[in-house]
Amino acid sequence: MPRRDDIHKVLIIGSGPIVIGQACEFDYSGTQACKALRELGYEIVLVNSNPATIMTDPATADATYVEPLNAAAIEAVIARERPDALLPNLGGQTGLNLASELAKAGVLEKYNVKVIGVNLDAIRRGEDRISFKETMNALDVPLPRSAPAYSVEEAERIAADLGYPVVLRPAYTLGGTGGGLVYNVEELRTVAGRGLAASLVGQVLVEESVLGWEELELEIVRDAKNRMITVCFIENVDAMGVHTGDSFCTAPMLTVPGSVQQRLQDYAFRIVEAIGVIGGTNVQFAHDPVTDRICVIEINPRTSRSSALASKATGFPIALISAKLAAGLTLDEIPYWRGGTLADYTPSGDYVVVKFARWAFEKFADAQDRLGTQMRAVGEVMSVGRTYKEAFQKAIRSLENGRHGLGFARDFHRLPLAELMERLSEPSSERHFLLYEALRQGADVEDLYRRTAVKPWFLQQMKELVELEERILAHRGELPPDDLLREAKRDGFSDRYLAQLLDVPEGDVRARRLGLGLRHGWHPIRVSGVEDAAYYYASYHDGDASPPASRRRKVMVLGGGPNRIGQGIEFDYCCVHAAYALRDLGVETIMVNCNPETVSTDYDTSDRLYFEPLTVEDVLAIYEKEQPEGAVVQFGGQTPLNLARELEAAGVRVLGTPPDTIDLAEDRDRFRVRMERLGIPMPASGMAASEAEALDAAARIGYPLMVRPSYVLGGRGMRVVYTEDELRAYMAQAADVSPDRPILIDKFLERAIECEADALADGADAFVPAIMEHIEEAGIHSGDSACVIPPIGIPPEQLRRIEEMTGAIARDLGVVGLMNMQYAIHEGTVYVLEANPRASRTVPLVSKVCGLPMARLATELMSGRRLADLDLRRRAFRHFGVKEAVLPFAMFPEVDPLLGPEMRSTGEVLGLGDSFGVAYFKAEEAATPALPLEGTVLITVARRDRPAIREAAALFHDLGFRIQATEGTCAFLRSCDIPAEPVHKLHEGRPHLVDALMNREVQLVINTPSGKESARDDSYIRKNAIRYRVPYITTLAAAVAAARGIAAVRNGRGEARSLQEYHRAMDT
Amino acid sequence: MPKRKAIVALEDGACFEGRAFAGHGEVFGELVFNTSMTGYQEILTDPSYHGQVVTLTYPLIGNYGVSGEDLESARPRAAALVVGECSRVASNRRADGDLAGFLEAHGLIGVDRVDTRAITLHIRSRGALKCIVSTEDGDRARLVARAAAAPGLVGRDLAREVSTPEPYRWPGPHAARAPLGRIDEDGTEAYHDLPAAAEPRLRIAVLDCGAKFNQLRLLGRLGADLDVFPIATPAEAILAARPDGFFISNGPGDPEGCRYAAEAVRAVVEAGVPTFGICFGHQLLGLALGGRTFKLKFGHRGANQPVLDRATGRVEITSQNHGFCVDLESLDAGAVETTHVNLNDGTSEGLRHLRHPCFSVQYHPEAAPGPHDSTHLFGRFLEMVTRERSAGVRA
Repeated sequence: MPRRDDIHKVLIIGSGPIVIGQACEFDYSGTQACKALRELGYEIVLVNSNPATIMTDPATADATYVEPLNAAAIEAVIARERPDALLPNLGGQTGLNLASELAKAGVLEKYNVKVIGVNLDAIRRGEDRISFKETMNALDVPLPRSAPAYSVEEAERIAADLGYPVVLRPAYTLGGTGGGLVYNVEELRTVAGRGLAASLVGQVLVEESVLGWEELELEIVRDAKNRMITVCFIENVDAMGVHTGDSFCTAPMLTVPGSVQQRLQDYAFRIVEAIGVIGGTNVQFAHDPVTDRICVIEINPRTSRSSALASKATGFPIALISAKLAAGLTLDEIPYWRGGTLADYTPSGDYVVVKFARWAFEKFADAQDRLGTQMRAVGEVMSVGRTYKEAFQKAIRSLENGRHGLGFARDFHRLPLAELMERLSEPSSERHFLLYEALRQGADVEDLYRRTAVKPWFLQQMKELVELEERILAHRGELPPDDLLREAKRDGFSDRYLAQLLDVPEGDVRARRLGLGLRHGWHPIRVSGVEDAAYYYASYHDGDASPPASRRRKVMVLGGGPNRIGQGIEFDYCCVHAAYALRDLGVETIMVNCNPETVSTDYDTSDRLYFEPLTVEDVLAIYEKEQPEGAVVQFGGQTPLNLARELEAAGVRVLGTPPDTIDLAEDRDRFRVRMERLGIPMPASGMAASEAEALDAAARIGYPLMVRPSYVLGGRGMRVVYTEDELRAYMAQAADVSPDRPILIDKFLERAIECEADALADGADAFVPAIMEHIEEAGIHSGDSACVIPPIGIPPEQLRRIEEMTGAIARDLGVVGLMNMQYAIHEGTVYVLEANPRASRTVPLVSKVCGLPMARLATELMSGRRLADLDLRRRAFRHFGVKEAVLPFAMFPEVDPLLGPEMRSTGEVLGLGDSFGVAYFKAEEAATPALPLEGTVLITVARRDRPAIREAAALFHDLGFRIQATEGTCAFLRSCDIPAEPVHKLHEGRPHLVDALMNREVQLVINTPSGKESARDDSYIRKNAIRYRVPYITTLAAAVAAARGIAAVRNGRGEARSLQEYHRAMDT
Repeated sequence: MPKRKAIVALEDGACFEGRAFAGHGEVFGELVFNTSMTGYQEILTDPSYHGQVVTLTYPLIGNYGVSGEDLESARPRAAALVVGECSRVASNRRADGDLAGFLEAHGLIGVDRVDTRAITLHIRSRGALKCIVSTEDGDRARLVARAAAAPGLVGRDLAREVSTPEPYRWPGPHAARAPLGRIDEDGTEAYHDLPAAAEPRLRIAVLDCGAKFNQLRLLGRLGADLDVFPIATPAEAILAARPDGFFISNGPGDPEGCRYAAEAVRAVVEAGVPTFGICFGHQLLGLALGGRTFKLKFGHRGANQPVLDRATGRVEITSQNHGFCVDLESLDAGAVETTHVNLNDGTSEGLRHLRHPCFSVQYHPEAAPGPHDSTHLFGRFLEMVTRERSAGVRA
């Protein structure tokens, strides 16, 4: 069937900010969908609150709305744009839920918007537990066995029937509260009793546990003619019980008999046909390897993290094809590289793909490293090899966590076997590294299988790696015999890890390897659904099957690797723009990255994509093959920067700002000398490689201090230290401190206004497009602080000063490309905090708010153009853009949700409006939960913050809010003639403030932590605010901003406008 | 025991060296490849591979061991197996053993540590080649010469070598050894879209040219009692069993090598017995109806061959394994209709006689391994049998 002509303008809803469980895979799928639909001639209206996406670039859609993702905001866009179709299954669960909500509220009908791609009724049937069960029963598709119980006795009978453990799921409770897994009748009685009481209908579902079964996934694509294909069969190496987002996976399935895969496909086809999705659907199964039973676990009738992985693993771009199918095309109209059309598609290939997750437990001191049914990973890597061993080892070195192999992680190799076995009894982010050491100590494969449910084949493969590693270790201090080196390279051991095992320089391993002719060969993954496209992976098996390098001008762009806190989608955004800009300049681009969620690893972002780990060994091999004129390292965040020096030493030409300059900016001494020469003030500072040195420096500088390790991104390990005791404690727990990697100590400028400036420079000249003012004061990591463009509280002469300083520093350092500067204004003086002569988190934000494609311009500068050629001017505009950080605290209920110098946000949103207040309110709304427009505000602040709370409290009082306050705060407010009602703290008797939160009597919480001044932990206030989804504010500056936002929005939020309109309205 | 070196030498001079992970000695065969990512047990035991040395392109093989219910016949039929890496463990609770042990027990040579992609590319450009696999002779030139001198498959009656020596009944002892397919514990069948079993049960004569168990399983499941005959059975003996229908199975090699069977088929078809043939059976039927067959340069192998069903316009992804093909041009267009066409190379994939109740397909609708697209053909056959039977009763 050809494309539909009954629709012309299609609305696409994005997935909003990056959060755990919903990351940049939706930028990838959304961007593909926009591309596909525009190619077919449709007009695209896009709504997404996340500015750091390629999707929200003004060039991706016809009208781009950076608005909060809620039904009211989207209705406003629909009313304004009048799209005639909505494609809801490309924006994750967020997009799908919003589409359902709009349909239910009658909005789609009112504006005559057709839903394409999915049938919303059918999706409801898939998501509601009870109708899902009915649907599956009707299709004869097995589910885990279960039965409802209305009494504890009945639950006991059912459980005895099913066999322990069982899962109890109370019917109709909020978020499944009161349920859980129980292992015996005692636990069952307790949990069932609680669950029956919690359930609105007094019913608990008793379900058999499928813990330890194989978890298997299929990605199905269906068209309007009901033709279905399976794009990919994915096997989770971690069994049921570990969230699939945390599971280590392989594609294709490696230990599942063909006959079982056929049955899975039969079931999946039945389900997908019944749900009626046009496009991609993910179906997850549990398979009991002992009884051979199969149960369907869940379906996701939309693009997903798994579909992004499946797309990259197979070369089948699921989102692109899904969008085309939704537009009316059918599989038999789309070409397939193996001949025929996609209707003939079957998974093929002679390689193994491994996905491994990246966690951030180190960012959350109180969080327990335990994996379960709730996803904890913040990112992932994908690797490709000819064999499982090769792919697995490549995945490990792709993670970029300092490990280049599986062995010797932490102190695991020193732990006794008994302890390793004990730690393995519960899944954690370290389980595969623990397994490796357990195998080294002789643990039995069957034993490990019983303990972890990781199947013997995977364990055996790991055991063979351990055995080989032990043979290598026998040659410690020298290079191994040639045959052993050959075997090691074939099994995926990296040069770096071999150097570590053998205690020889990596360069020696490389030289010997090359001497033996052991070189990477690259093999294509062909792209389905388009004419003649492929990308490449490397292997030490079987020669080189990639086409020869071209003779055109070409540049290599190094990507950012896995998402993690502090290094997210913003850097991928920059890399993608670099590729686009180079292409427009007529330069061929070579992209290297290993993150399957990204746009940079889309097959057509660059001219040649290498899906490879970002390590010296892997990057150098590509560089030597392709012989580009240089490599761009400043866009991919810390990952490529960490390689820059070594690459340069090995002969790679680094484009733009030289690595030495980037080092200089990181080197406190060298940088300070430069600043002194330029007459630019910096907070007093020092460095320490020991506790004694730290105490010395502190005595000279004076408390409070900001302390942190060198060479980190995202403020890892950064703290504000008020006393000598705190400093001693910090030095004691700081790992890896050495004269090479000292601790940095700065004077902490309390209550200073923090701001940032971005610059574009060509080595001689610099241009400063924007200055951003932080809402939160100095001391909160810039990534976690809200910020506004243009600044609202910085006097003009200081702005001028900041601009001058930024320009002077960029010129002095000889920056070519991008630079980000951080400043603090303290008692009228502007101090430089740090210079980052590379892409920063703010690039997409500034680009979108100021209508200036920063990464593109920087790329042009790096490829030799001059600033003067670009004719850049600061354009005046009347709108305000507020960025707000999105934090993952709801996923870590045990962690105190406070902001500090260590970055912990996973994503960000942008609010745009005609005043600061409206923009701030919209940013908060987009970050959720939204600020209230009226009601009661609960204020409880630390003693030292009392004087400063007065302004915010007065504003809320003037806005007509009721104010509740805890004892001390209440007395203070009353003393300032601000009416306040007292409320008990937790230990002061009931009703207390948690009761008030639970009863929804409070609409906003303003709470600053008591910190060291109080013996009592007050984190329960913030934790409960999160639990009951009450907006909470932990800094005084944000409290004032919130009051201004509420006041502004009560006077009207103004019409939603597209980015394109904002940019057109700018003074040209 | 240290693993021996093994050499796969081809008649055109190419040699691939690996390691014998099972068996030892020497074996001749035709070197073919299969690109399926799963299903090695089914491939290995498929009698169509008799006389062939099978290379599996996917590099990791044997991971889930060998289990009885996934076998297509009682023993491995390929002459030898060549893979990239054979697993040392059978990671499957339901496995009866590992792949190496299975090969060893049946005296087959298994070779691993070979670049199977290179072999695939080689055969893809040269066509299937005669080869020798040896763990004894290290002289490559001599091995190549011996491979070239070996008798090929053309004209050789391989089917008779794999056909049952004695007639038997299904269900019967054979079926008991190969459990009746897979049924989930909760009673759902693996094949959900099968029509209801015929009532009363039908009596079907099967000409065993190297039948895959799954064909017999499916017919049994659909309500047929089977009399399975050796390939050299004369038509009279088949007709004497008074079958309601006649099924001609798949099998290995060149159909021209068993003209005698084509004669028997013609007699049974002309006696009015509803007939269905698969793969080799399709070729025999083509010969019986007056056509010719020819050898394909590369053969069709793998689980992803697109076939157009001309009647419905539907494309089916089919599982195939054959080196010979019925020549479309050789059949009388007035009597025989081409029903299915391979979309990759336009060759015949199915035919139907316009007067006699008989049809056949070149691909494997029982599809193990492979997609379950085409199982409905077994239902179509038994419907035809039922229809003819009631017509016969009325007459």
